Amino acid sequence: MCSAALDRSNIQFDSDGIPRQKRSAPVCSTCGGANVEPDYAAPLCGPCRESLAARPIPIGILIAAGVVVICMLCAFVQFPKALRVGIAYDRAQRFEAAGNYVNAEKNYQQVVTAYPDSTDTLAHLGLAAYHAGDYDVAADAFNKIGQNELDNDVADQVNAAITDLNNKAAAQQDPNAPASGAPATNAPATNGAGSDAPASN
Amino acid sequence: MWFILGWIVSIVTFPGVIVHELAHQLFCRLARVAVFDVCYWRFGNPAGYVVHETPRTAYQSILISIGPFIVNTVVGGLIAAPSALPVLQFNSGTPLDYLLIWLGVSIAMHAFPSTGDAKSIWQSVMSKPGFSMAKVIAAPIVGLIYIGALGSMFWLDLFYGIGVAFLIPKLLIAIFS
Repeated sequence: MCSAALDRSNIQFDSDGIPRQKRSAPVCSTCGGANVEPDYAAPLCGPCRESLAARPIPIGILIAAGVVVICMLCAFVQFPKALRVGIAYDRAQRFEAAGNYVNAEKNYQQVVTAYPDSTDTLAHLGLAAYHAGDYDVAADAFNKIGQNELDNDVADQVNAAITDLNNKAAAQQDPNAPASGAPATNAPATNGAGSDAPASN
Repeated sequence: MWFILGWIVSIVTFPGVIVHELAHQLFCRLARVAVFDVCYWRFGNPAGYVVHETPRTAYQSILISIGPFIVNTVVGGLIAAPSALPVLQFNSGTPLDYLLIWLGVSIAMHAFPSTGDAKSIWQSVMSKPGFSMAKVIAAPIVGLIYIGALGSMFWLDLFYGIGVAFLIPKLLIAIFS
């Protein structure tokens, strides 16, 4: 641009017309400056490299990244609860397997409080409460299952427990029947393993 | 058929492509490597790319190439993990849970570096003569990237995304319970 001030008399040119001085000292491919940084493959000066490394991100992409960050924050808020409930469920399963039904019931209760529609957890809560002798909680849990599907094995156990709870409740209501000794005051509103028993898949 | 399916997956999981390219760009910025062109998402193969100069050191090259693997895995896992439990374990997912799982799996499944990234590492590391620690580190990374790329033909990337989303909470529960 300022070719008028250039004294060409002292410049030596190669056969292709490029100044020999330019070959030995590369210039920045972006701004044409002489201070090209060494040890890099691309001939760029410091400020141009900085500028290209810090290439601006389009506004649309920044908005998308903001949405991802918001989702991460939502996930962060949910994470402690999910982890706490997951741990409670894991412990409950282990207590149930070990026959420690009182502690299993406590832990299943925590899960049901967080996720009241979890059919599988309601079934296990009912079974744990039934085995722990907490028939009111068992009956309530079995009633909430309704017609939702359960695994065959769990469904069989639930049906057997409902039948037993109903028998206990019937025995308590009938004064002439032999005393069962079970305080089943609030048996589920099902008639044996009949129409209201949970379905299995 | 597979080509069309790949396109559909690319469209459905576009947030993962954007995060992948952003991670490349972020690591270029950290390594002070000039970026000449960026495509965050497009119809085509590759779905996104970052054109940058050859990094000065082999370690910078490795960092830029595997940066998205770290970022996409961590971000995808963090987003999807809390929602995976209510959906999978308790069948009690809300619409927000399903949204977060889609986003998390989309991001995590685009964690794998591309064969272009592997070539970039290979060229950067192997162009220098003689023995170096960078070559020892880079060789298995390049091998793993190619295995991942091969596996992606059989949806390994999708399984990886699902695995990150659903196995991380299981792992955390196993550790803390």
